[in-house]
Amino acid sequence: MYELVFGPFALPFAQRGLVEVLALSVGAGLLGTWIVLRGLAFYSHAVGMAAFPGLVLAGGLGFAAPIGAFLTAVIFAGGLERLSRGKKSGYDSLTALVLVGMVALGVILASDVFLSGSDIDTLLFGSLLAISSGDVVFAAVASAAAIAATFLFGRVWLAAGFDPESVRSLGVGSRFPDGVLLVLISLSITSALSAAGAVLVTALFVVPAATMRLFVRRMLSWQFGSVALVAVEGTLGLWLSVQTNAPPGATIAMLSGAVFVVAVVARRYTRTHAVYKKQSA
Amino acid sequence: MSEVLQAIFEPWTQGIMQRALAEVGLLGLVGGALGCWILFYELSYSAESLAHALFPGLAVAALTGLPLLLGAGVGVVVAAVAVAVLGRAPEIGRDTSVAVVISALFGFGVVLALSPASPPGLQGLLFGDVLGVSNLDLLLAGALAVVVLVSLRLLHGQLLAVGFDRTTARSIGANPRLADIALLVLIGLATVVAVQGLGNLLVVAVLVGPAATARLLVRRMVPMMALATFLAFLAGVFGLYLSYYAGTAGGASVAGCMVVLYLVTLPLSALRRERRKLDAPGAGSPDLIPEATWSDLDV
Repeated sequence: MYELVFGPFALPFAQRGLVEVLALSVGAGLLGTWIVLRGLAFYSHAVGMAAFPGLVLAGGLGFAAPIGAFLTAVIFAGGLERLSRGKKSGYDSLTALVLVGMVALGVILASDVFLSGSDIDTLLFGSLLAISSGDVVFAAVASAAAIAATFLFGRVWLAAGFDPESVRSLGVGSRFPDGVLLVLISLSITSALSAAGAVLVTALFVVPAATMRLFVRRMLSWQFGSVALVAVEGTLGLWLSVQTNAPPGATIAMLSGAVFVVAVVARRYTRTHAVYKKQSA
Repeated sequence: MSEVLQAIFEPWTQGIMQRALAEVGLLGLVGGALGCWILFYELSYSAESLAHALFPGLAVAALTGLPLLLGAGVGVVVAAVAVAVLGRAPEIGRDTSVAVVISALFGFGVVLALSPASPPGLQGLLFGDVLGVSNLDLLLAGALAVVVLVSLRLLHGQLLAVGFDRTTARSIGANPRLADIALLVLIGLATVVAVQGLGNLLVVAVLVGPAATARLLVRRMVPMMALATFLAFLAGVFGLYLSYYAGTAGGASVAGCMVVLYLVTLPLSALRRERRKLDAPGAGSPDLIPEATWSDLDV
């Protein structure tokens, strides 16, 4: 029993994975609440996917993967901003268009220029063996930045989420804080790529925060709850990943999705239960 | 001269390339026409995610040796039901519930696809294999394409009325709920048609790219659909040439050409608007000359 539960974490690479997931959980949980609140799920997904060609380039040319990933993420965000300037609608179709362009570029680079072969799986879905101690430091820095920025800009982010007009009338201007939020999300997602992979970052950044949102109403408890849930789901996902030899991004995604389904069902049950109680009282 | 002609026709003498051409034609028909509606209804994220979320279906089909289209079909149904059921939690928006569903299903699919029992060829599922399409695949995809196009023709009035003005649509006998659901089902079917060629990470290129390009050039819905279909086919053929002569990955080349087509058309359409502005002096400041918007549509 002991062996089954703790055995996987005796392996050094799994220990590093565990530290990585815990370091990520603060940034992912915290930013996750902002992503859900501000409706940035598609943006987060797209940033992760857009990092794919950067990762391929970094692997092929031999420089640090996070640099490549962050560069392409910035190119993606900048390109999106440039293309959508002055447009009132069609933001989501442009996101989809730029995103798929980046993926196609990554595929061509990987299969025809650098012949990356099976590395593609690692880049897309993450790998325990790909996590370096540099990644852990990076994740910790990104998480620290997320905490600091939430202290500084949390109120504006919250207000802008509900009523962008009134924020402007308060004289705070939400353009700069919103830019900070987008850059922070890109940075934090970049730091999660080696563990979660380019396709599955939303498993850490969106699903736990969405699950928590079903049960809490206050921002602070939502934030703490999400961080804790990312840590728990990440740890269990890692364990499952070692046991099944599947990439950690995939196991975490599967697990957190299942938790979400259970949460939805449980909440529906407790709600109807509470209504019955009220009626009979 | 004859060398040029030979270079143009040479690829199509091979069975593989002929089937790829047919697949690209089907892609164009379905993606171009339906894409205009996806843009009109702002459903790009749903379209993208349906393609991701059918991954477990593809993986199961690959594991059991069933036709991929069958797996994709079942996968799409599961994904659509999951989005519909989970998306009803009021605290989290549609985008968030879509994100939850795709990460969960995609993760599940990856675990299946990378399991030791599954045959190699994961990348074919992810990025498509436009050069590996069989005659049976084409037949099934063709049948589905016919269904999509006929449904679009039948639903045309409904979709237009609902998309144009949701609140008054009811009064002229249109049903917004029906239109939404029908559109999602059709996107699912189109994804199934396209996934063989482009794989589930690249499908969205054909569903959004040509339609977005056409929208830059024309305003009315039916010409837009026709133009989008033509552009999709054009970009697809160009992608196949690229793949044939440069040896690049088939699906990615086709998808890439569709995005590049948009990026090339964008400045051209801006230029055209500038010219039009000069032709019509007194039409107001540059800012007042609108891009083709949906309110310009003829209903």
